[in-house]
Amino acid sequence: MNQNSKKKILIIIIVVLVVIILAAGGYLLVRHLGLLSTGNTYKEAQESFANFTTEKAPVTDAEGSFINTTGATNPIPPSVDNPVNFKELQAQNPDIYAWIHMPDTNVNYPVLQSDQDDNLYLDHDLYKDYSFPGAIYSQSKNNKEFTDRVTVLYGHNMLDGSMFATLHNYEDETFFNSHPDFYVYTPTRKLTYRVVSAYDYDDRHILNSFDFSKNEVFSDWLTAAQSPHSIYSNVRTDVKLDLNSKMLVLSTCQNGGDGRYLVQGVLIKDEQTK
Amino acid sequence: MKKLVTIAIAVMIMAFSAFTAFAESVNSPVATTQPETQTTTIVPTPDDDKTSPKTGSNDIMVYSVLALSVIGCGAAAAVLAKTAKKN
Repeated sequence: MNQNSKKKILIIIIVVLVVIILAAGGYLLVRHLGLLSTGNTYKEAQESFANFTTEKAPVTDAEGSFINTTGATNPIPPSVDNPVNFKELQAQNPDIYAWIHMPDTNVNYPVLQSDQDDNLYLDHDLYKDYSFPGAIYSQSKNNKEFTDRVTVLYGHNMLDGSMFATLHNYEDETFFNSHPDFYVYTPTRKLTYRVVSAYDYDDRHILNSFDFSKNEVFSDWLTAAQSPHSIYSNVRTDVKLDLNSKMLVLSTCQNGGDGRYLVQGVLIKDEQTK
Repeated sequence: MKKLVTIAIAVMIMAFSAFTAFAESVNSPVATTQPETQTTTIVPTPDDDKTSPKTGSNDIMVYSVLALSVIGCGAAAAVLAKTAKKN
């Protein structure tokens, strides 16, 4: 090959690579701008519709304050304040039915469920506008009262730490131990969940793979929740689980691999809100 | 040529009368009749998949392509500069 042909080939390679670099760069730029816009959308929603300034994680593990899940069917008076303005939120989008708040994480979002498309909010924000980070959502297999034996909420594992990315904080044993509880608000109730375990799981669709109406299936699930088949797991063994337990599974993708990362909580307190 | 033009006109007329949107404006006894009332039926699409919704951040692939392209481009430019120097 003479020098001229070599030169020509190199120039062609460089031109092709420059085109690829520009295309990839442009794509990432558009994506980044989209993420910024979605981030602002949620920030505005958090500032406008929810006020969690006073809620902090308990300093110590609240051992002994555990209220068994049988209390879930009888909400406990007296009323507590509801920091979420559901009236205004639902005026924006009636699919918003709850708000999840996990102290010391970025998880502070409305929870949605579409009755038309189960995965609409995988890539649509709380105003139903297209956005890659989507929203925190459940599917129609779950009711909106959090009374199912197992409720699953989905959220993206975003590189910028938004949506459910900071669930991965629970991989750290210290964080796991010092943050036992998280909260879900509905228009009339405050639900307190105690984190039972956090672990890597496969990519099975939980609600389509298990029939939790069967006691033995649910019992096996509870057993697995406290002794997961995962090397990377943190478990709280002092939480009692039984067939009356109401589990809330928070599901996001792993940082690598095709599986999912699950944080499982059990309902320990159900309070009426003012 | 004449034949071609005739065929093209015939096809255009057929297409014009076939589409309801065009036919609406045609005041002709052979125009298509409008549907009585349009009702939008939204069919729910439940997720029956055996796999959980993919909630990963899939930018890693793009970043990899970008990084490899930058490295490749740099290497090609270096070789090109070397070749030019030799000459």
